[in-house]
Amino acid sequence: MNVLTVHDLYFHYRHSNPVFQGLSFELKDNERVGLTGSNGSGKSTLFQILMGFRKPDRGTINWYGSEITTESMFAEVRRKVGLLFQQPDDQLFCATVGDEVAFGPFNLGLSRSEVLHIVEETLASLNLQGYADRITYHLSEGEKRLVSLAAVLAMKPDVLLLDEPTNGLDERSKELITQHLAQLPQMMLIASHDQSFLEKLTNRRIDLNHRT
Amino acid sequence: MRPSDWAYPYDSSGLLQWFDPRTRIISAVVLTLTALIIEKPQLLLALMISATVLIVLSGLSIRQLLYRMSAIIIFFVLLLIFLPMTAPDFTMRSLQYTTALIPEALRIGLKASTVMLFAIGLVGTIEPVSLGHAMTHLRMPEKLVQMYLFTIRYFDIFRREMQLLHTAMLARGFRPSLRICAIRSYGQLIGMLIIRSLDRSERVLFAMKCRGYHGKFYLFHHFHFHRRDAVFMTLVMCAVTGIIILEMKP
Repeated sequence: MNVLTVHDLYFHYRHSNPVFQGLSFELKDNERVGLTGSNGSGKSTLFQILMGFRKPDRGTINWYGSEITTESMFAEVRRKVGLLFQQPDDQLFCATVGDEVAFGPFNLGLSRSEVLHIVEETLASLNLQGYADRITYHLSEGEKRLVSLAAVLAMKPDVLLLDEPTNGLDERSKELITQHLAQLPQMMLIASHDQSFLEKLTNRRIDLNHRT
Repeated sequence: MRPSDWAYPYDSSGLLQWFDPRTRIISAVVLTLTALIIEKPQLLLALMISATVLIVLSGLSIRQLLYRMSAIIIFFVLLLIFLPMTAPDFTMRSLQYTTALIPEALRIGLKASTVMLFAIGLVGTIEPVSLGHAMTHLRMPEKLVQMYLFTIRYFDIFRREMQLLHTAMLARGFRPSLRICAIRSYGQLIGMLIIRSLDRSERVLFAMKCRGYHGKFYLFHHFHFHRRDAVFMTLVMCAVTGIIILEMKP
């Protein structure tokens, strides 16, 4: 079964060239797919369209077998699909790490004790014990990336959309995040320029330069 | 000083850090109001001394204190110069300095610095994020607190972005001046900052929606009201009541 099917997608930003012209692809159950393409080929835009933040000119997006069209349907999708942003500073809007990780579970309507448990468990799974009271803007780039991942994982998504997860990281942080991602059970769609990173994590590649 | 150090300007070794931020905010409000209604100079002096004791307890260094008090000190000096000039018998021609209003100026200065000292010692030493959380717990408007917390979070990033843009301008031979072309460049810098901020705010909103945001912020942090907080509050209340009784006595 396909978890995600994108069919005949067209999109352009106002006053600029089209980004997608008839893009189609699918993400099957238990698949991990790499998304490659040159700068400006629309990797981040595609993720924003898949999460319902931008409206395509034409084409359909199917999540879990049904076509998603309205904002409320996308809101449901966002509970099951986690998006890791390219810039951690865009994603981490809370003042402390604990607030950040707790934000998603609280919005899912969980009780305080459940949320506390999830925060602790998620931080521990990424070796971030004791980070809950740390101030977000005092973290290093690598730590910020891991905290972003923790914030996404705290919602227990089925699918992860990762936008350049190793971008701007040093070798050690890159290694660390690769290890953590490799251990995760989720299906993934990973946008990256890093070929060796994609080789380690994905079983299939989609090249946006040739698809559109 | 690192750019983000403004948020953490003091070591947290001061004795006041032991108390719950809410206790400190409420005490600051009560003490400030008292300082404002008191008229007797001796009582004002007593309040000022207790404010100074609190400052010593807060662990703030003299340099930090002077830096924070600088505005009030300048205000006080200006007041001393200009208030006597408002006396009815003062004339510009004679420039005769009348001392009649000097006690009044001193009283205003004393009040202002007492209020400032209470604010700096009790509220100014609360870690900014905790201050935001404490404000929510004190039932302050949620939107206000949220804006405050967003400001803490993104202030540094905007500042860094502005510095980057400015450095990029300097790197290409830009010289700060008041000529039209330089002013135009500054206009472009500000315009660029606004555009980038708008873009960023859009992405932050996406990030919030991604995690199920539907208009409500939840608090992860909870404070605990200890026995020592109760003791501190009682002390403050007793002192305030005493001072007010003494003030009412003819």
